[in-house]
Order: sequence, then structure tokens, then C-alpha cells
Amino acid sequence: MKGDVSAAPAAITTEHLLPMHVQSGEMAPRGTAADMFGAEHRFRRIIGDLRRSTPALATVRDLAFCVMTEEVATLITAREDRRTCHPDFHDQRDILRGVSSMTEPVKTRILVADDDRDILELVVFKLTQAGYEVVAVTDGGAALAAIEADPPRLAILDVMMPGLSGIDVLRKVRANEATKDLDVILLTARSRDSDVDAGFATGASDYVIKPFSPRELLHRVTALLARGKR
Amino acid sequence: MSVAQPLLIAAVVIGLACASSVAVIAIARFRRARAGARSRALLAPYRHALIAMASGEDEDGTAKAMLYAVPTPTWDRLRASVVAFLPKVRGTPADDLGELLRSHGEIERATRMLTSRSAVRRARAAYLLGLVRDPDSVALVLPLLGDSNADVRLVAARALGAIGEPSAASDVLRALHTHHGQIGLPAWVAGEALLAMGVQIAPALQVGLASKDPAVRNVCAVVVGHGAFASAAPQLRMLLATDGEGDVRASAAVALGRVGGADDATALARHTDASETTVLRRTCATALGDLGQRESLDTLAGLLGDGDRRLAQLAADALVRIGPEGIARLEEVATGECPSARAARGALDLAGLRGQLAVSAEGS
Repeated sequence: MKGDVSAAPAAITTEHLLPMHVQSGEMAPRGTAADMFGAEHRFRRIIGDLRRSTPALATVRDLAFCVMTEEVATLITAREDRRTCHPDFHDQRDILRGVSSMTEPVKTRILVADDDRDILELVVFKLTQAGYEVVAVTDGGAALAAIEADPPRLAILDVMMPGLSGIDVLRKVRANEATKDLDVILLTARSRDSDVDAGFATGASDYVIKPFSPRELLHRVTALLARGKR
Repeated sequence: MSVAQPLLIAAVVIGLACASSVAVIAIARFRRARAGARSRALLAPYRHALIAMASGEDEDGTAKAMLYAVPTPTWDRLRASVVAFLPKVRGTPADDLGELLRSHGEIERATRMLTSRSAVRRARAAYLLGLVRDPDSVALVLPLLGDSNADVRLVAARALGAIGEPSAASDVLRALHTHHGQIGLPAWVAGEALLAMGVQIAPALQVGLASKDPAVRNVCAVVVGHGAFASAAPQLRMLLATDGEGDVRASAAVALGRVGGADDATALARHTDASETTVLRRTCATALGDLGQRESLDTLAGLLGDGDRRLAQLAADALVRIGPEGIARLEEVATGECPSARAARGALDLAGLRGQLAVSAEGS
């Protein structure tokens, strides 16, 4: 029932945890070892394993908030003093998959496209922390393919990318009946008035200029999604 | 020795040289890749903490504690990653990254490097101090505006702009002067730095608009227009009317289009007269479009048939930007084959492609 033990990390860090959780391609499979246990037992084991493997983290609750819903994190906080660690639960990847599977249904999916690795990781991290499911790509062609294959709820596009630019992607998204209503934020270093005008004229829902405040970007994402729900 | 032998020897030598060059490149790439992989492995444990700090998601200080405790040999490799994040974020994350650099002695190191004999080191030091945006660094960077190396002067101006301290505006303007064979700052670098310093540079701009140096007057006029310093409009009017330098008059016209009022339409229209230079006529036509006053409709419509076809195009585009009344004027003359009709049709077609016609119709 266990997963691929050889692929499991020697120690769990959020570095391991987040990509697994974030990358849309890796969905948590049902029927893994994690599913053999009840939620409470599972989380108590997670606490034990993570305490041993991530001494840099101040509290397990912090990590719990990284990957789970607030409800689950609260449960962990309540159980934090119990450090039960079952010896029969060795595969940490199964734990992570189990954790992911708990949160799948409530995620809003966002696509982020940027050829700058720093910004891509930063935005992915910020949105993941806020509870979104994030699909990350590094060029315009991949962004368009991902949007057309399975439209996300919102897309954050860099303007200057190899292949198709963010503006090109936006133009094609607006021209496609299936995706024309997608919320799109352009995230770019192009700050001239004419650039901003061009972005909105092409159909951008919002325009964020680099250097940017990650907090402000998150507010704009939240506001756009809230507007869409109304 | 036959003729073929030297050729054969030359071919062998060239072949060996090519083969050795390929080998050197391959080895260099391999070593670089290996060093990169080693460096990534060394930094991997800190990458997440760095992203947490750069994204403002380090409320409990875990990432901060981890990054502040990075041992020196590792920090030497991590420094570049921290510096790479700084120009990409602003707000609290940028402040936190700056403090991280300070905690590892980078500010002190940069301060020492400002007086290095190496121009590259001086420029790097100024760049870092600019990224950290500490107002206390202004006094340290200012002397580099007079550096003997033009690139260092340029980096220093950008650093001052990044710090955004308005008290440095006068020094940046002074660095535009060319003297003793030392070329002044490029106008666009000075302009960007000044714009980043905010509205408090207005007094320095007013002084600059009256400078004897046309380069300074020109940059000030450009900054006034882009930064919407409306209080400088009277000086712009004077420059447009009387300045001896064509570039300065053109920049003043552009700025007036942005910060001027209805009264300025007459002055700008006057400078579209055929007696003016081509550059000024075109600039004033564009500025009339920026100004957006209906008083300009007759002037711009009259330019549609001008012998300078570029001027006619700019006038037609300006009519589009004035709005429904300007577009109506274009539609009036768009039929037929005269030059005015062609200019009008071209502008209307472009406006349609840009979506401006729909917007204007909604506006009306």
C-alpha cells in the first residue's frame, strides 16, 4: 500500500512539501497508506514525523497552515502535545499525499506564467499559502496550452516571456469562446502608461507592475475572484 | 617539399586548434555545470526560507532566523540569490531582504567598495546600496555622480533614484553637465532617477528649468511632463515661446500637453504653423491631442491636408484622442481621395483596431 519509498525524501521540508502540493500534475492518489487511517491518527503521525525532520520550523502548526485548510491546522494545533509516531508509517510521501487529498476539493485553481524562476516560485508560494491550487509554467505557449486544456479560475501572466508574450496569450484567451471570461492579471516590469493602456485594451482584468508587493498581488487576486463570484 | 605538404600541415594545425577549442569549451561547461549543481545543493535548504521572506510570509520569523544564521561560506553563495530578489519585490519583503544583507555585513562591505580602485566594484557597491534603499546611503553614493567612469556615474544616478531621496535631485541635475571632457549623465537616466524621487523635487525642477545648460532644461521639462508637476506650467510656456534650443522647446510642448490647461491650446496651435521647425510642429500637434481640448479641433483638422504627411497623421491621431468630436471631424473628411481624407481614414482604421472607436462611442 505504500508509495515509492525510494523516491521519498530523507527528511521532509516545506521545500519538498510545497512543490508536491502545488504542482497540479501530482494529485494525491486515493487508496494510499494514508487512507488506511482516520484523520486524527494521521495528523498525529505527521506531527511526530515533521518534528523530527524539520527542526528549523518553529511549530508544526506553521507547516500545517502551509499545506492544509485552517480547519485541519486547528485540529493539529489541538493535538500538538501528543507526539505519537507509529513505526508502521514509514513513507513520508504517503503522509503528504494523504494531507493533499484532504484539501483538494476546496482549492481555487490559478495559473502563473513567468520565465523568471524567482518570481514564479515567489508567486506560487504566496498563493499556495493563501490556499489556492497553483499551476506554474515558464513560457507563453505552455500557459496557453494549460489554459485551453483545463481553464483555471484566474491566470497571472508575465508580459515578456519566450515564445508567446503575456499579451499574445491574453489576446488568444479572449478570442476563445471557452476562455474569454477568464480573469487575467498581467504582472510585468513594463510600467509606461502606454504599456498599461495596451494591457487593459487587450482585455486584462488587472495590471501589476514589478517590483511588486506580494501582499498587494494577493489582495488583487482575492478581489478579482470575489468580483467573479458576485 | 611539394605544394600539398604545407597545406596538409596547415589543415592539421587548424584541425587540432579547433579540436582543442571544443575540448576547452566542453570542459569549461562541464565544470560550470558541476559548480552550479554543487552550489544549488548547498543553497537548497535555504531556498524556501528565502522565498518565504521575499513573499512576506515569514510572520513568525522562522525564515529570518534561518537566513540570519547562514554560515559565511554559504552566505558567499547565497548573496547573489538575495540580491536577485531585491529589485523584484517592494514593501516589507524588500525591507526584510535589505536587513538580511545588512546583518551579513554587505552594506559595510559596499560602503568600503565605493572607494575601490576598480570601477566595477564601485558600480556594484552603488547598485547594492540603491537596491537596499536606505536614505542614509545617499550621502555615500552622491560623490559617485562625479566619478571618472561614466558607467559608475550612471549606476550612481540609478541608485539615487531607487533610494528615492528628493534631496539628491539637484546633484543628479548637476551631473547632466558635460565639463572637462567628462560627458554628463544620459538624459533618460537622469529623468528616470528624478521621477522616482517623487513630487518633492518640484523646487529643484523649477531651478533646473531656468538653468543655463540646455541639457538640464530639457530633462526638467521632460520630468515635469511625465511627473505631472502642474506648478511648472508657467515656466514651460516661457520655454516653448522663447528658448533657443529646439529640443527644449519640443520637450516643453510635450510637457504642456500633459500638464497644461485650455489656455495652452492656443500657444501649442500657434507652433504648428508652417514657419516653425518640422519637429516642433509635429510635437505640438501630438501635444494638442494629449491636451484634449475641443478648441484645438479646427487647428488639427486644418493640418490633415498639410504637405508634411507625418504631421497630418499625428494631427488625425490627436483628433481621435480628443474624443467623439474629433472622431466626428475625421468622419466628415474621410470620404474622397484627397490627402486629408487618406489621413482621416488611416487614423479611423487604427482607432478601430485599438478599440478606441467603441470606447469613444460609449463615452458619448
